[in-house]
Amino acid sequence: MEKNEILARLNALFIRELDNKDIVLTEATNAGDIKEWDSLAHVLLIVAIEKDFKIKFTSSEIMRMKNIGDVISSIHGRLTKS
Amino acid sequence: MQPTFNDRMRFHHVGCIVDNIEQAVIPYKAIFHFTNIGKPVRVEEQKVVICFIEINNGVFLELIQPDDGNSTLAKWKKKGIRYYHLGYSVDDLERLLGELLRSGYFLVSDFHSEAFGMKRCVFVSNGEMDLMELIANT
Repeated sequence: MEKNEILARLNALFIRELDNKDIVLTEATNAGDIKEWDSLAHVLLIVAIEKDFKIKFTSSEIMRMKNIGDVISSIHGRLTKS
Repeated sequence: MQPTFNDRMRFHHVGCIVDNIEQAVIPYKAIFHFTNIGKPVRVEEQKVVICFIEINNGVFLELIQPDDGNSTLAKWKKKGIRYYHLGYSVDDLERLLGELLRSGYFLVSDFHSEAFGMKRCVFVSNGEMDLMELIANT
């Protein structure tokens, strides 16, 4: 799967999970850019991403994710390996 | 024998989301006659007001009222989620946290809480919505 496809899927997932249809993600988007993306919402997002992409992140991967670009890279890496 | 996680974590509380703490404590006073009910305390980092009720010896219910800035807890409450985390008091937070992170848990938040005299607290999860709060004893 290409990175732009992952971004589009993540955008839809963020809109659904954070209940905000105005969200437009870019690789530079981070938690500070989206009001609803707090630490607890981050847990929901991780769970939703893992289900949606049928992958499982490691603890260190999750803690290294500082922006959407990092999330995309992790997902892309997982999907490429499998 | 190596002490288990369980040996090093003393159960302290279950966290429960409420709309209004003043209203929520009423039945605990009027019906259950619990007497050890703390004063509401604002926890700045979490954007909540909390209140502890001792429901058994050393075991507490933590009532959590999200403020306007905490949209996630308010949404969870609307969805019917009330009890959402377990709190444990621990002696060696740093070491235990390291072990949990190596066991598949990830750090959700790390802060000093007004509710515990500004002691360090961390929330961790295993990604299955198993939210756990660890409170440093020292």
